[in-house]
Amino acid sequence: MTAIKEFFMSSVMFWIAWIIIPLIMEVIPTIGDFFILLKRKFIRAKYVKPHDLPQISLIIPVYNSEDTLYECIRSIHESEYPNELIYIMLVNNMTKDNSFQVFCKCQEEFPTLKINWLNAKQGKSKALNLALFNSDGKYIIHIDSDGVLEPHALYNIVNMFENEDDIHCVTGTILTNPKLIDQTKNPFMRLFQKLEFGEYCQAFLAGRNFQSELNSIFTVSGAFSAFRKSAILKSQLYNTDTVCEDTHVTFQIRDGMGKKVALCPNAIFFVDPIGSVNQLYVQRQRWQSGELEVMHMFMGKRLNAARGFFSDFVVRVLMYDHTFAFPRMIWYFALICLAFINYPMSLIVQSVIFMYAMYSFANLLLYICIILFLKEFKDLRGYYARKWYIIFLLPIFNFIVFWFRFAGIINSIKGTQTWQVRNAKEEWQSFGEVAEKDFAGIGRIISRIRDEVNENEE
Amino acid sequence: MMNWFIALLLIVWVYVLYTMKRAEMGVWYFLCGSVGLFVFGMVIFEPHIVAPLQKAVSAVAGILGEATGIYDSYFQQGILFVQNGTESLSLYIDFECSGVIEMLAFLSLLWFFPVYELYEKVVVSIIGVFAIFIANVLRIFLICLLIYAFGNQIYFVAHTIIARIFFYVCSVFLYFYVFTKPQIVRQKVGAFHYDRD
Repeated sequence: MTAIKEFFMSSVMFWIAWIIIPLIMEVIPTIGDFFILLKRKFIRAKYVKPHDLPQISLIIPVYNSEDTLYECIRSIHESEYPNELIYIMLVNNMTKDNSFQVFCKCQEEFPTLKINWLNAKQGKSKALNLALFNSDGKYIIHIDSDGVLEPHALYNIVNMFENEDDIHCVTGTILTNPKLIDQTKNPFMRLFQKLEFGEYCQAFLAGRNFQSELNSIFTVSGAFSAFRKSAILKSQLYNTDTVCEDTHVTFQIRDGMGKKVALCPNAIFFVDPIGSVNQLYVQRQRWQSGELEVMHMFMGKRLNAARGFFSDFVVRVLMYDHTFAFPRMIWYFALICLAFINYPMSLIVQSVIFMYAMYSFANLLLYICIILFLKEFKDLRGYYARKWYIIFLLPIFNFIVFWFRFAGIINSIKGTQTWQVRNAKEEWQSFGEVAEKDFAGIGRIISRIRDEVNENEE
Repeated sequence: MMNWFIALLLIVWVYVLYTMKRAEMGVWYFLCGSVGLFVFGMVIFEPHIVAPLQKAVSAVAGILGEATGIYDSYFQQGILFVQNGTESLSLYIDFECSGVIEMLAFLSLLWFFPVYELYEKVVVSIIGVFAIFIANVLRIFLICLLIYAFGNQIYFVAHTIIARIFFYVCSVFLYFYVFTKPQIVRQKVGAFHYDRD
C-alpha cells in the first residue's frame, strides 16, 4: 500500500511539475468564469418591454459585396424590428463590383426599408466615420455586409439599451453560419469549421459574456456592434491608422470615456465560416497585430507588469497573449528535448495527456454555459449540443491558433501593415524560389562539368 | 560520427535560416532560429556549462544560507545541507536546478527577436542571464527556507509547486520587460494600407 501511495505521489508530483502553470493560468480561471457565467445567466434583472421602439441607424460598409449584400439586407428586412424604424446606410468603400446594382434591387424588393447609398474613400474606418456623421436615430448599429442577422438580434440589442441606461456600447454575438458549415464538402474542412464555430461560441457566449460582467470587454466585434449615438459621436470616431478600428473604438469608450461596454448574448450575427487554413492563418495574424497596435496607442510606456497584472485587465490580456506566448513556445520544444536527454518518455506523454484532459474539462464547463445561453434559439442550441465532441478537439484547434497568433506577434514588428499578409503557402513558395536560385548556380556548374567530360570522351 | 552529424545539421540550419531571411519569412525565421539555437545550445554548450553553473548557483545560494544560518553549502560538489531540528536534508543542484535550460531558452528567443538592435541584444542578454541566475538562487533559497521552517515533508510541495510558481513569476517579469513592453512601445502604427504591395 505504501509503495502504491509513494508511486502515485511521485507520479502526481511529476505531472504537477509540468501542469502547474497551465493549471493556474488557464484551467482554474475557467472554473471561476463558469460560476460567474452561471450567475449571469440565472441572477439578472428582467427586462421590461419598451412601449415605443426608437429609430435606429444601421451602417453597412460595402466593398465588393455583390455576393453577400442581398442576403444581408434581406435578413434586416425579415428581422423582428419594425422596418419603418430602420434607416440603412450602405457606405461604398470604393467597391469594384456590382454591389450598387444589388442595392437598387433591394430598394425595389424591400420598399418598407429606407436604404441610402453613400460614397466614401477607401478604408473601412473612413466609410464608418462618414456614415456616423450622416446617421439618424437613438442608436447606431454597424454590421458587416458578408453576414446575416438572426431575426431577433436588432430587437434584443435595442431592448438591452432601453433597459440598461449605463451601457453605451454593445457587441453582438458573432457565430459562423451552421448552414454554410454543413454545405462544405471537404470533411476535413467541415470539421475545422465546426471547431471554428465552437471557438466563436466560446469567444462570445463565454469569453465576452464573462468580460461583460466585469466591464472588461477588450474589443467589440467590428462585424456587429451598437452604440448610443450620444456616446459614439463624443468619441474620436474610428481610427484610420490601425487594422483593428473596432478595438480602438472600444478603448475610447471604455477607458477614454469611462462608459460601460457589454455583450448582448441573444443578438446573433452569422458570418461565413473560414474558407481554408491559410485564410485563418492570415486572419488571426491581422487580429493579433491589430491588438498590439491598439495597445501601443493606448498603453505605450504606461505598462507596468506587477501593478498592471492585478489592477488592469488590459495588462493581463497582453500578458496572456504576448508574454506567456514566448516561454510557452520554447517549452513545447524543450519538452521534446528533455525526452532525448534523460526524462522518461512515458511520464512526459502521461503529463501531456493529463494536461489535455484538463483543457477538455475546461471546455466541458464552457460547453454547459453556452448551451444555457443558447436556450432561446432551439435549432442553434441543438446544433451546438450535437457537436459535443468539440470539447475534446478544441485544444488542438486552439493549439493551431496559438501558432497563427504567434506569427502575428512576430510579423507585426516589421512595421508595414497590410490587410492581406502572405499566407503560409505563399511564404514557403518564396522560400522555394530563393533556394531554387541558389541551387540553379550549382546545377549550372555540374552541367558544365558534365559537358566538359562528355566532350573529352568524344 | 556524432560530431560530424551535428556539424552537418548546423550547416543545414544556417543555410535554411539564411534562405528564410532572404525570403522574408518573419515568424518562420524566428521559430527556426530560436528553436535551432536552443537545441544546438542544449547539445553543444549545455554539457560544458552545467558543472560551473551548478557550482556558481550553490556558491551564491550558500552565501545566503550562511548569512541566514539556514543551510550549509558544499559548492564544489553542488550540494546544500539543510538542518531542521533532528531532521536533515541534502539538496543536489542538478542540471534542472542550475537554470541552464531557462537561460538557453531566454537567449534563444532574444537573439532572434526582431525588436532589438545587435548592441541591445548583447546588453539585454547579460542582464537577462544575470536576472535568471539570481531568480534561480532565490528559488533554491526559498526551498531551503521552507524545509528549514516546516521539515523534510514539505520538500515535494516546496520544490514542485511553490518554488516553481515563484520562478515562473520571476520569468514572466523578465519576459514582460524584455519582450512585451519593448514591442508595444516600438510597435509601428499608421503604415497600414489595404493593398499588399
